[in-house]
Amino acid sequence: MEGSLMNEKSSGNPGGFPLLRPSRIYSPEVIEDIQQKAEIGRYRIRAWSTLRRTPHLDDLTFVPCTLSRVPLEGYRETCETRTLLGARHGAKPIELRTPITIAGMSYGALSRNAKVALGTAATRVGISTTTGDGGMLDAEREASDQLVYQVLPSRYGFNPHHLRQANAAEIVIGQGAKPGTGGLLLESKVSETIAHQRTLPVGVDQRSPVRHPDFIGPDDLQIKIEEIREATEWKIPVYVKIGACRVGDDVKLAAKAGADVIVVDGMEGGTGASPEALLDHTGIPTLAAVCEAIAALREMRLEGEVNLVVCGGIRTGVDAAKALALGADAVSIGTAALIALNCNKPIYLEDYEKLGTQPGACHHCHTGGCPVGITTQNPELVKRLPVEEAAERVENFLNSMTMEIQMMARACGKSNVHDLEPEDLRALTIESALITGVPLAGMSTPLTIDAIADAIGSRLSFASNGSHRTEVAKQP
Amino acid sequence: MVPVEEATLVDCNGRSTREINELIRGAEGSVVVRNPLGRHCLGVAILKPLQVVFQGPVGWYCATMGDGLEAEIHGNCGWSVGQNLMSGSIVVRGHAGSSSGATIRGGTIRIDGNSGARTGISMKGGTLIVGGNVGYMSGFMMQTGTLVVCGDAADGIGDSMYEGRVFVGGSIASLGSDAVEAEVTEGDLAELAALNVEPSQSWTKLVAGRKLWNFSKKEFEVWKAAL
Amino acid sequence: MCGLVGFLYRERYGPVGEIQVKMLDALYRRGPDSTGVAIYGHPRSETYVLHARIDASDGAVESVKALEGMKDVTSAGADLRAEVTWAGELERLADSVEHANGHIEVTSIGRSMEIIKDVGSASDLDRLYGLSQREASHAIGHTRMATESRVDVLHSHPFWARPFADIAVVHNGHITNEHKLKRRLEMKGHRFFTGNDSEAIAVYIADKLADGATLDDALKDSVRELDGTFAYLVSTRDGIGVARDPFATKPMLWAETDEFVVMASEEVAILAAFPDAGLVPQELAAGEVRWWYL
Repeated sequence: MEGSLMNEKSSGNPGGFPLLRPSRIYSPEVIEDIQQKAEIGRYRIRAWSTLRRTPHLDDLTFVPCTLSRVPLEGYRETCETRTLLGARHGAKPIELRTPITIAGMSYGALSRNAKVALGTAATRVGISTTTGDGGMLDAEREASDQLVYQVLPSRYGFNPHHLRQANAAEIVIGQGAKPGTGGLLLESKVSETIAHQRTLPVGVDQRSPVRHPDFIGPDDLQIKIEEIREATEWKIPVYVKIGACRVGDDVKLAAKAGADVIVVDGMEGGTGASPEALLDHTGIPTLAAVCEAIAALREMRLEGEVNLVVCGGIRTGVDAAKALALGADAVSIGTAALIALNCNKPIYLEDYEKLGTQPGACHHCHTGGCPVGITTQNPELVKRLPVEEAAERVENFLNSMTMEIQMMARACGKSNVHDLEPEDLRALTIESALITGVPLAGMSTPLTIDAIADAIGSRLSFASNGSHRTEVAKQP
Repeated sequence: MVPVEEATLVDCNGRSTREINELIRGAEGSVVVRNPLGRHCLGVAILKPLQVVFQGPVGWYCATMGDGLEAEIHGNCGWSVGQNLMSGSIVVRGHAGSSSGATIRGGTIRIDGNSGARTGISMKGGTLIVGGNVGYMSGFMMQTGTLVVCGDAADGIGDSMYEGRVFVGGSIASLGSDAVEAEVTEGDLAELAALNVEPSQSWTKLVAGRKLWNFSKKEFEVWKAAL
Repeated sequence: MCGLVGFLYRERYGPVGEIQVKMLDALYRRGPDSTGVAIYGHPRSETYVLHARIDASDGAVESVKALEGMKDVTSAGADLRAEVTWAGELERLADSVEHANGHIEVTSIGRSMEIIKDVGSASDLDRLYGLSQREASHAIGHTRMATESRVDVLHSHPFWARPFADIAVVHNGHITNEHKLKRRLEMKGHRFFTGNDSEAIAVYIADKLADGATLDDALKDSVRELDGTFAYLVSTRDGIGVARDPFATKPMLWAETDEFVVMASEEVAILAAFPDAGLVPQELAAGEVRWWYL
């Protein structure tokens, strides 16, 4: 009995080893969560994305050239990054100098300076930006050479003149952070300007509807896409964006409905505000989503004809390169672009503390108190983000991404980043091997049902031939 | 309306929707569209003063995203007629499908007959008048603007509104979340008279109770029905 | 996701096949994957008419001909048609046909109902099976855009409410409690042959009718018990019923004259068959059901 008391924390017991033993199920986080809900009487709301670790592109590694293949020189031998999106129905495609786009984030969720900085950087780098759940900001249209105009369930600020000024239209069915639900902008960010643009009373907790007001299913979507084309005289590509759920089915439906580009946003995708439960418990990881999406397009023989853009947790050029290798035509970044702007920068530390957080763990966009002026409508805070410097940071980051993509491609012997293939990858975990069909490192056969069935099948027929036993018998 | 002889005539027979819309967009003054026969997406994004008469029933998304047009539809229309109208007018001399006048931001839409579910959904301005009855969840998430229903309203009328106003002239099956009755003022009656509308019984006015405008732990019963 | 059509002559037989082809062709954009109809000609008293999907090359026709009760077995393309004398459970008839040699899937059995369905358009159906030549009292039809199950004939509508003679369903939308319904019906002894949610509606209705409910009651119960989005048509030997979900998510219009009743997902389909009849179709209300008898 005395031995078992050794680990009990008790004052006066010199042999006791002081040890807190928190439950994994009723962890300190869970305790805090329940007690918060006991105060507020509703679900928790925050920004960013799931805080969970998910099966991710990190679980894959490249296998560049060594003896069996020849790598390209990093300094002189070209590695093409040009990417065209949306030519399926004869529209003028979006032309990206590198296969990266800036994802849809609203003016409202973001400050004016943030939107203009992103647009400025995108123009310098030669890529596109996207409007968000509030409509087009004139300043963003001016700053961004290629602007994708979102058609969202809320239709806040929707203006056919703006649609016709856009370079592409993106019908948003949902987003990876919170699929199956609508947008959210809390009170402090529904300022006079934002409220006016969205035709809302100042200071409401804006909750966007989840469904589009004028169509409901994928059969209706086909007619809606036709309407958008008629409204824009067939001149611009039409994208359909989905949050990653039943990706295979949804990609097929979007393709059948006529989408030129399909944007698939995985569960790691971020947002300015969402019920927390949705962030952590809805959607599937981007790693799985990109594989399901490309398999669906291949099954329909539309790979290459319908373009695939993948987003949700793309943080570096390496992530982008892996997504391309798995079959994406381009990636989109949201959170990473904000971080390049200054999100979570260790400055104005006391303002992070006021929000109850610190740089490195801040996901408090929903409060409207962004210490660095990105996700706020407070003019005093927005001043902390001068456009020119912010644009330069994003431009630098985008250039770094491009260099990383090219570096991976060249190492794998590709003169065009779009020639990266799943065969250039190996999986580092069984999960990612099963999810992607990429062989586990050290194996050459993928862990797919078909490959396993083939292998078993060939061994059974080999054994029944008896030839193997004969061979063995002949050896001395 | 301008007499038919002076209008540009567009016959839908044998033409693609794209061709029809190009002809409509390229016309000046007025256009008569013949044989629409339920075609979708006719007259989309007419962004200049233009009179358009559709001589027959049309399909979905007729006369949507307009700014300055004056349209008449001589027959039924499908879903989402006049969606996101910015300014101008649309008259439907027939019944309309669901989502009529969705997200309009200005202008006036008048439907002589009945209109389906979600009539006036997410209106952001403008005036939408229905001579007959409206279907389920009409006026859902109205932000501003005026919805006038001369006949009856099905379940869920005026659900989750912001600053919109709904006038119902007949019976109401059930109110939507946070829809409350408000007093019909002299000013309201004058406005309605000017719109040339008659209630089938008498006017009931609905506005938002404002309980869903901000998250609140109180009034759980109200929030239970909202997300 | 799909386009639906329905048509019924109140008191006669007429060119229902031709009407179906015109209506379904007008809805092609809603359903590029496959097309099908359940069409009701003159009812037999002694025999049943049976349709099955076969692989034309593998001797299925011959092996079906050899089965008990088979009177007149023909095939056109991948469709096998047989007149059969049969007393007893139709489930056993369907099973025995499916166990004959070759790849065979029974698609309908009835005294008057014939289900004709294939990948492709209504014009394809006409070309392969002479649909526009058929005279009938009533029919329902469907063009399909596959949502979550496969694109092939077996997963195409109409679904025969197997093993109940002469009952079929076409559905637009997605039943989100499909698996729960199927499990409940399986406990009662029913079987399901596809991964398609619409099949659940067919068996659900047939089960109610078999338990003695009227079509009216079955339709009304379904509006409460089916979850998800739906507009659907159910056809029986004597009539057609239609139901729309309580959130009015999927379109459904109908119009009637003294002579006939017509229904469709979009007015364009009604106009394609009756451009000059001066019909003014109305939308079915949220949660509304209607039915019409011969």
